[in-house]
Formats: sequence, structure tokens, C-alpha cells
Amino acid sequence: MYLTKLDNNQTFTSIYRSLLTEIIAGNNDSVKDEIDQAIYEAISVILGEKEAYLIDNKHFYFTNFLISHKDILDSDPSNFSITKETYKDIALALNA
Amino acid sequence: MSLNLLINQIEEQFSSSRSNVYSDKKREKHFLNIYEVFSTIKELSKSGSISIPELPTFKQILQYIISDLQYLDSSTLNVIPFEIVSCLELALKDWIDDDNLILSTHLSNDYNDFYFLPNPNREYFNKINSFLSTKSIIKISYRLIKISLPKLLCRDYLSTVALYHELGHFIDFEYNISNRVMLKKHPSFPPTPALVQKFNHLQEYFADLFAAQYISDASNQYLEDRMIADIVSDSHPKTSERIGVVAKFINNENLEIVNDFNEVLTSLGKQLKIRFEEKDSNTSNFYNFIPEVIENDEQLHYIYKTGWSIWKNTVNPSFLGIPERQKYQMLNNLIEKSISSYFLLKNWNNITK
Repeated sequence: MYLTKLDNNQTFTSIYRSLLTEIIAGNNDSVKDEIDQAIYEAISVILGEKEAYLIDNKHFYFTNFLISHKDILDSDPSNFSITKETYKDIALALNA
Repeated sequence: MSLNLLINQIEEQFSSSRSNVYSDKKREKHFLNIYEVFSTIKELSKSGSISIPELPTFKQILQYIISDLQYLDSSTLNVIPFEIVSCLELALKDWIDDDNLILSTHLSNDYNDFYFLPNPNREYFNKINSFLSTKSIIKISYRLIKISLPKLLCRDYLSTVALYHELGHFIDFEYNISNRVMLKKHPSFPPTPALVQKFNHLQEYFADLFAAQYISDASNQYLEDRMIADIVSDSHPKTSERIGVVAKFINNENLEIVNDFNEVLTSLGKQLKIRFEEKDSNTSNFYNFIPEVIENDEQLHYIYKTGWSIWKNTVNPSFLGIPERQKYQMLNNLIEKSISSYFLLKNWNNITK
């Protein structure tokens, strides 16, 4: 095969990275709300308040990505709040 | 990295597809919609308004557009059998009520090419649109469900049962069903080779069970017919095991795998269950060489099972003495006529109501 087939992660990575860049630039509030919702859902799973298999379908991939990179979401998830740095850290992790 | 080559390739494709006559208005609208998105991206690229970090995302969107164009090309009049697509659309509606989905097929030259193209699911599609809106580009309204089938078999109703299985893959991917079962049973879900294989097998079982809801064991019949070796692979369970699971599901036996799927599906407001209405194939009209009278959607899906039962029946006197090739052709014609009569009558009744 001439080209590598993109796996699920690679497919989603670029689009989420671009959306985070837009949020950091302050360009899209509705996307920001969706991303924030996914981040808070990931925190709930990390804290054991919600089961991972019940993650919202709207951002299933993204929330799972955050859960598997929970170090991005601070060392103390119970006192977590979203800042511009959070989006930057997630974008960096997506880049890795 | 630049978009230039891709843009010219897509431009060429649009220009050769321009004269296509699509099988319905939705496909035509989708063609115009993605052309508009493409034209805007082309202008942005020409004017140098696309930054380097944005290039991969735009490239992905353009590749998405060219993939849609390829599938639309196989969705023109007289290429896809409307009968099979209409049956699949009915099954689809049980699971997703979205008028903006278009079931599209790609005809492959490979005899083995029954597959569902897994991208994009709803999450990806919505995020593409979010990105387009941040760039003030019109959204893509319709989403194609991309299923490939061998060109040779596109009017073979005994083989097209495999498309119910492929539609099952789409539903699985859309709701992340097998993924959720894995997360439930293995919460950390580290990608060890054994778990990856288990995940792959779960996806195949789901697609088999999805198909069985509608066509009973007709997909099993074809699977058995196509089997060369009953072996397990990383991607697929042993054929005999797949057949066994479906047989138990149809017999309403308690199955752990069905329970696992249904537990996850319940949280999504869905369920795996029998959705066909059984008809005795021994008294089928097909034995008198006339189409079946189908009374409802449940009987419609079951027509494939009836077709297989008759194909495999070598004792009923009706087809004895008729060359096998003729039986094959007659059966395909009878199934096609039964389905088209059902939809004709259904549409007529809807108009006259």
C-alpha cells in the first residue's frame, strides 16, 4: 500500500487541534461550549462520578482522548477549572 | 505542504461529474453543496488566506469532498439497485432519524469488496462543520453512508444480504457501540493485541446481529457459502462462531454478547431485537414463479431469507428440472419484483391517503 491509512486518532486530531486554535484566538463561542462540556465530562469520568461507556456521543472520541491523557487536566481534577492554558495543553497533547 | 494538487484533482472530478443524473434530489443537492464548499476553499487557498497550521484540516476536508464525489458517482440512475437501497434505508430509520443521511454505494471490481467506509461518523462530521463555520464557509448539510459492494454482485439479492451487515458497522461506528462495550468491560482498555482483537471481533458480531434482526440467518447462509477456511483472524472471529451467535440470537437464547450490546444500547435508547416477520417459505409464491405479496416492512426484510431458503431447497418440485442458472436468475428477478411492488404500493397508498 502506497499510503498509510489514517487511524481514528489521526483523523480526529487535526480537526480538534484546529478548533482549539480557534477557541484560543477567541473565534467561536459555540465550539468553546462543546469543548468545555467534553472536558467536564472527562473530569467526571476521571473522578469516578460517571462511567466511561456513558460518554456523550457528540464528543465521544475527544472525551476519551482526554481521559487517556488525564495528566493534561491538572493533578487535582476535583479543583479543576478551564483556562486558556487548558486548551493550549490539550492542543499540544493532540500534536504529540 | 500545499493544497494545489488536490484542488486541481477535485476540480477535474467535479467537471466530469457535472453531467451526472442522480437517483434523487438529495444527492443532487449534496453535489451542489460540496461544490460550494470546495469553491470557497479554493478561493481562500488562492488568496493565501490559509495558514500553515490550518493546512492539514483543509486537506482533510478536501479529501472528504473527493471521497463523497466518488461515492456520488456510483449513485447515479441505473447504477445502484433502488430495491436494496430502499430496504436498507428502512432499517436505517429504525436507528437514526436523520433525513440528511444518504446511503451511497461504491461499486468495486473486487469480488470480495463488501465493506463500510468508517469515516466520518457524526462527531467528525459535526466538527468539520464547526470548523467551516469558524471560517465563514457554508456547512455541509448531507452526510453519506459509504458502502462498497462488488460490481459483479450489485443485482444479486442473495449476496446483497451482506449490505445489512455493512449497515450494522455504520450504526456501530455512529454510536460507538462496540467501543462502549469495551469501555464497560475493560475500563482502562489498554490497546493490547488481545484486546484489539476482541474489539475487532465485537464489531463483527454487532454487524452480524444487526443484520440478523432484519433478515434472520440469511447473512449466515451467504457467509457459509463464501467460507473457504473456518479460521480466526485478528479482524474476524471464526465463521462457525459467528454463525452460532446469530443462530442463538434468532432462537431468542440468552447470550452474553447480546446482553452486553443491549446494556449499552439501552443507555442510547436502542435495542437489538428481532425485527422481521417470519413467513413459511414452503408456501412461497416464488414456487409458482410469481412475486411475494409483502404486507409490511418486517415481511419485506424477510424476503431475503425466503430467497435463500428457496435457493437452498433442492427437493421442492417447482424448480426441479430447471437449470440452476435459470433458477438463480428467476430468484433474483422474483426478489427484485417483490420488493419493487411493495414500495410501489406503499407509495401509492401514501399518496391516496
